Amino acid sequence: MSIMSGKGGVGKTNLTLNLAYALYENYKSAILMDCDLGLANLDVLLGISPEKNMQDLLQDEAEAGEIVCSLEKNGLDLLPAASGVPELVELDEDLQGVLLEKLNKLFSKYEFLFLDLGAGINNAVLSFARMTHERIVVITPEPTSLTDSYALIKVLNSKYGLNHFYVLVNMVDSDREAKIGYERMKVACEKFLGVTCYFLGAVHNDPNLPLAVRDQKPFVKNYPDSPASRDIRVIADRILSLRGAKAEAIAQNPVLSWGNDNIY
Amino acid sequence: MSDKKLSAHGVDEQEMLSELSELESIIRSAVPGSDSDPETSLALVRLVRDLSEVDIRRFLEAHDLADRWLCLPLSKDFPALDRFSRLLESLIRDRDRDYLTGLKNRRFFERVLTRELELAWKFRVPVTVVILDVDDFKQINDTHGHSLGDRVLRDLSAILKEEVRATDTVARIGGEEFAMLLSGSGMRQSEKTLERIRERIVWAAISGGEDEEVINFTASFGAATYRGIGQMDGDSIFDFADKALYRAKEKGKNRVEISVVTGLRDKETAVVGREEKKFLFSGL
Repeated sequence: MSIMSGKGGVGKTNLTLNLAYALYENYKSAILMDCDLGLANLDVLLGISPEKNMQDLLQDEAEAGEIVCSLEKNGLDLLPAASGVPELVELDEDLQGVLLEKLNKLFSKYEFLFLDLGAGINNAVLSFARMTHERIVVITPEPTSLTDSYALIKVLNSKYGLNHFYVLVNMVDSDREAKIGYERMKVACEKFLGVTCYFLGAVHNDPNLPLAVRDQKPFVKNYPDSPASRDIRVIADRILSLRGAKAEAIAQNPVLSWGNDNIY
Repeated sequence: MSDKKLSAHGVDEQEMLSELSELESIIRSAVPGSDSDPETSLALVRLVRDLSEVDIRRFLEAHDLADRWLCLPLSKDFPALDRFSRLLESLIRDRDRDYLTGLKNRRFFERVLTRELELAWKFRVPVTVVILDVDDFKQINDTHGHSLGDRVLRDLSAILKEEVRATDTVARIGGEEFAMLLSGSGMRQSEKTLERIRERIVWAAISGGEDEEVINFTASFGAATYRGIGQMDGDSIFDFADKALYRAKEKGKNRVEISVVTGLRDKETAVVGREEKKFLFSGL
């Protein structure tokens, strides 16, 4: 799944990390791929640094497993941006093919792959979003966030024909607020684009969040009973059942490819 | 980081290299197991805010050390590295500094500007870029001599430094030309700040020369406020500020001119039509 948003600062990176952690708590294995060359990177958030990078992967017999950083034993790993992930889309097709093959071999060992995409609409974001099976669009109740994410959906739809998205409303103060934000997005997408949006869930504003960022740990782990953590777990459960329903299609298609558009 | 630039700032290349080899021995004794692999050394570099990994890599490459040294961002609490990072920090500081005024130089300013514009775009916060120019500086130089001219520049620099917040950036970008980056400052706030500075400059005076003459000077300000709308790059906002400065000069100097500027909407964002936008904003 790729996690994206039209506007920055909506909490994508944190959501991605915590969703993956919540799945890990459910004894599911997950790997995060940090595709954002921007300001708040997962490796920074977690205080880690990679030893090898994509360049090493291009050479000889290097395995993708060597550029992975382990976040939790047995099942939660990270492919850091510093390892050259964002540059992946800039490569020519041959090299990209080599890398994708190696990466897919690695990814198939996990039940979940999350791509943390940069904000905005640029070639890197579009290319990565297109490569995954599913896409989660993160919005906040702010109108500017809605507009920017709508633009992103519109471009992905017109360029690659992607026609369904999962919407996650972050930083809400009430369920009502989440509902209004989602409904506007959903109806606008249906009305103007013929695109279907599904509600994946909402995450409430949480005073513990800044603390967890400072601790450089997932807040689901450090503050398991806080409201945001409960929200995240609900969403993780939903993702689990979604995956169950689509298990067959997932198994038949490569993890990342240019032709995943129509797996649904 | 080219060799020329390093030596231009009085930094001894040899010293840097010998520090590296000294660091190597510190690391070898500090990191268990690293001495068992004589082929690979580790350069563990604390990446402070202004210290770019790219520059360090370039330095290593320029000295054919890239194969032997691995450049890693490292957490702050690695005691053995303190000396090395201090050296690097002073190296970087000198490289980024204007020797006459002690302010930052253009190079540094441009780097910070790029980052600030990115932040402004990402979080939709305002940032104001100011270019200011000492009025009739050539005349001051010609009449009173260069050393007094230099004093004008230094006094002005001191005022600028005093009047801005710690999060702002002040740099000398040319002969009598300065640039300021006011982080988080919108148009009104910047206007107030700049008016205050303009007035202080009017009242500032230096005395000197053969007959202890009192010299007054003024400055003109051109500013561009960007509020994070549309993507903006450093060159463009510099151009806007420059145009504003030109207006200030045209209108008689000793003035502040500000314009609010927007970046190019990415073409994809512009794809959202008015009807769609209205709907998303109001749900109608």
